[in-house]
Amino acid sequence: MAAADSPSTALRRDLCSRGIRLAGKMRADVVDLLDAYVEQQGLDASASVAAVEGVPLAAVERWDEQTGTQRLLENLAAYRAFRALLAQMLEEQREQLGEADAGLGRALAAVLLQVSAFAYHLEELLRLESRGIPGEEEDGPPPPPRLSLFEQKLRGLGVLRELAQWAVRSVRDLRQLAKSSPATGAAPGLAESP
Amino acid sequence: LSLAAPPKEPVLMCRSNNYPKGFYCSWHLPTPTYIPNSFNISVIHGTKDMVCEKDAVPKNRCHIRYLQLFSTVKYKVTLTVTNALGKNFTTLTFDEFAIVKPDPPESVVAKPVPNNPRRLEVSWQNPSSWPDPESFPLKFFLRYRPLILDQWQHVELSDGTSHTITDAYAGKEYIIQVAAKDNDIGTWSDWSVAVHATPWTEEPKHLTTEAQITETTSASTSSFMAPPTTKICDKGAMVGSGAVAVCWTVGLVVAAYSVLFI
Repeated sequence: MAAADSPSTALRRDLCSRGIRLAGKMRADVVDLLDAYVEQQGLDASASVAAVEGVPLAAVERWDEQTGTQRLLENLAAYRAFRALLAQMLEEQREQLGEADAGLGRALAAVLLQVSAFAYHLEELLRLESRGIPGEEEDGPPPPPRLSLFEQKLRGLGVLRELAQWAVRSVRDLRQLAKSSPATGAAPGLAESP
Repeated sequence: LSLAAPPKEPVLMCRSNNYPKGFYCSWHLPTPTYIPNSFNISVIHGTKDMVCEKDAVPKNRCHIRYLQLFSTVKYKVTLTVTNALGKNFTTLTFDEFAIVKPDPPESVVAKPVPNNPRRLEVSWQNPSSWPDPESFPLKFFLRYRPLILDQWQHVELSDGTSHTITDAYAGKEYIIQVAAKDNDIGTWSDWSVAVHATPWTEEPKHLTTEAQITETTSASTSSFMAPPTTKICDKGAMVGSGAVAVCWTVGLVVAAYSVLFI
């Protein structure tokens, strides 16, 4: 280990720590929102929801082999997509229910804010890595066709479930990033056991 | 005379005590069949069949390496047991996070703190089966009580593998246990092996002249700590005379301790 951290290493570690706290809080709020959403939309919490087009999947193979830059770019793409999806959910919510479900709308808005803040935080980390930040207009597919009310509810369930998974993954990704070398962004792999 | 029987529905359990490497499933029959049984296990993740590699020991267990992490798709495990008289099966469906349960913390040690009659220092280690505590840190739950009481005190600790209990009852033997959980997902481990410790107490001094005071030292992890070897009063600080002469500082200390005893 180096005797003293360089300023950029210290800043990186600080940004990672703050990001971990943001992601942790976001996850707790998403889990609460998920419970409220399932109840108020009259859904079955154990219902399987097929992968919805446009919802970024948190599932990843060989996660431990990813570089720091890969982690940041995948996270950023995901949270930008969630920002658009949650904004769409909020709009649909307001159209469907007006003021009847203001609590759910407020909770959605709060999570949307956290997702936006986290996306910005990821951009800061990418700038620190001296990486260019991908343009937003290139992210995500075109908006899907108008869905029925039930399809909207199921998609909302899928969005929130994946977001909850992403929040956990982001915490793990940032911990890996905090461990790795700033120069290479290479991730130390897990020790292989027999 | 035991009659051979077809198998009843087997009992199946799956758990990840080495996240994120993989998980294992283990099984048993609720009642014996008295004839040989064969077990077949299948694991499906979404549309993908996965191979559960049987462990040599114990025989009723197999393990799977995670190919993906952070998936919302559930795992479906089906165990079928067959013998000459029939077959039975059971199915378990779960998601990746729900079955994460570390093994209990290891090497739990509790020690009295010298000159502190209400403190106990507790330390432990991460379970050796947890592969990467730096990237996947554990949090801990410590419980302790004096043997004479039934009610536990609880402390949750989000980092570190040690804790100092500061509200122990002086002179009472304590029982202490620790449990672990991944910081973000899953459930708490079972409680660790219990350890016992008693806070430091000063050895009772005979109320005699200073010349008759014997100074000893000893070290122990579960019993009294002897008082320090340095002298604690001078000849000039004596009060009284003869057999009941008392060093006034000792008198103050004894008075203070007597207030703490319950």
